[in-house]
Amino acid sequence: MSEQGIERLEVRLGRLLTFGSTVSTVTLAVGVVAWLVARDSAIVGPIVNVGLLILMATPIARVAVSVAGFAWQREWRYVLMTMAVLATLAGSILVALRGGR
Amino acid sequence: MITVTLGMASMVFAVGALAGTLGSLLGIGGGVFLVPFLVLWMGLPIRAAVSISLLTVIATSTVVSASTAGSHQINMKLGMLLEVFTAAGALAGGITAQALSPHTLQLLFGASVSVIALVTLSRLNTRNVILDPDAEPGELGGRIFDPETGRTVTYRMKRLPVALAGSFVAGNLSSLLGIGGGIVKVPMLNAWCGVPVRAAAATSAFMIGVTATGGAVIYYGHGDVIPMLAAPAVIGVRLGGFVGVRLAARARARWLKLLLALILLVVAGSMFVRAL
Repeated sequence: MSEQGIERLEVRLGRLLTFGSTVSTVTLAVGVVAWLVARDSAIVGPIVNVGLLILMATPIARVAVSVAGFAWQREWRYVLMTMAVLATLAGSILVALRGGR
Repeated sequence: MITVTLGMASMVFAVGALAGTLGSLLGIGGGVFLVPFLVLWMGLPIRAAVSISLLTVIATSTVVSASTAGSHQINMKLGMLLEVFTAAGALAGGITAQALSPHTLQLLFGASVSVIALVTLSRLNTRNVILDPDAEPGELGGRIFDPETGRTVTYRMKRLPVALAGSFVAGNLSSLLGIGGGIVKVPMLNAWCGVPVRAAAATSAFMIGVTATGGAVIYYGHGDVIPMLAAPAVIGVRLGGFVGVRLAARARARWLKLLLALILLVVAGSMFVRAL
C-alpha cells in the first residue's frame, strides 16, 4: 500500500473522529445545561442519550470508512480485517439489543 | 436507580478531567483511574462505573486520534490488524461481564493492573529503536520522529503472535474492567514487540475507541449506564484530553513509563483493599 494512500486515509479518519466527538460532546453539553436549568424536564434524558449514541457511533463509522478506504486502494487484506471488526461490532450491538432495556 | 445530584455530577466532571489528562498523556484511556474513583469514592455499582468509563475511553481515543492523525505516530496497518483481535476480545468480555459477580470483577481489576505495572517498571530503561532512519521497517513496522534525539527512527515489529493474543486479552479486559485496553497494549507493544512507546501509545489510542465501543454498547443495552453521570464524565475527559495531548508532546518516555507504573500500583492496591 502506498504511504500517501494510507496517510490520506489517516487524515480522513482523523476528520471523521473530530466531527463525531465534537457533535457528541456538544449534544451532551446541551443535555447537561438543560439538566442544570430544569432538573425534571422530559427533554434532558433523550438529549443526553442521543449524545451517548453519537459517541458510540463514531468509532463504528470510523471502521466503516476504513473498509471503504482500503477497498478504494484495493488493499483486500485490510478490507477483510476491517470488515471483521465491523462484524464484531455488529455482534456487540446484537447482544446489546437482546439485553432488553 | 441512582438519583444524580449536582454535587455528584460536578465531582464526576472534575475526576473525568483529571483522568482525561493523565490518560491521553500516557496513551491509555483514563478508565483505569475513573473506575476505582467511581466505585471507591462514589459507591457506584461496578457495572455502572465500568460502562461510564468505557464511554469516556471512546471520547479520549477519538480526541487523541483526531489530533495525532497524519503526524506519523499512528501505525495504521498494525492498528487495523490488532483491532480485529481486540474487538473480538471486547465482545467476549462484554458477554462475560454480565455473568461475573462485582467482587470477582474488582479482584480481576486489581490483579490485572498490578501485573501491568510490574511489567512497565521492569522495562524503564529499554529503548527499542534502530537509529538508522533508512533501515527497512518491514510490513508492520514504521518510522517515527523521536523528539528526545531530534531524529527520525525506524522500528520493526517483533513477536506478532504475542501482539495478536495480547490484543484479544486487552479487548477482553477492556469490557470487563472499563479500561481502554491501552494499558495492556502499550506496555506489550513496547516491551515485547519492539514498538517505541510513542508509536505504541498513538496506535493504541487509535484502537481503543473501537474496543471500548464493543463493550460500551453491551452495557448500554443492559441499562447499566447512568446518563447524567456519563455526560459530565465524557465532557470532563474530553477537556482533560486536550491538556494531556499537549503535555505528551513534551514529556520524556522514561518519565511517562515511571508515572504510569506508579499510578497503576496505587490504583491496583486500592481496588484490592476494597475487594478483600
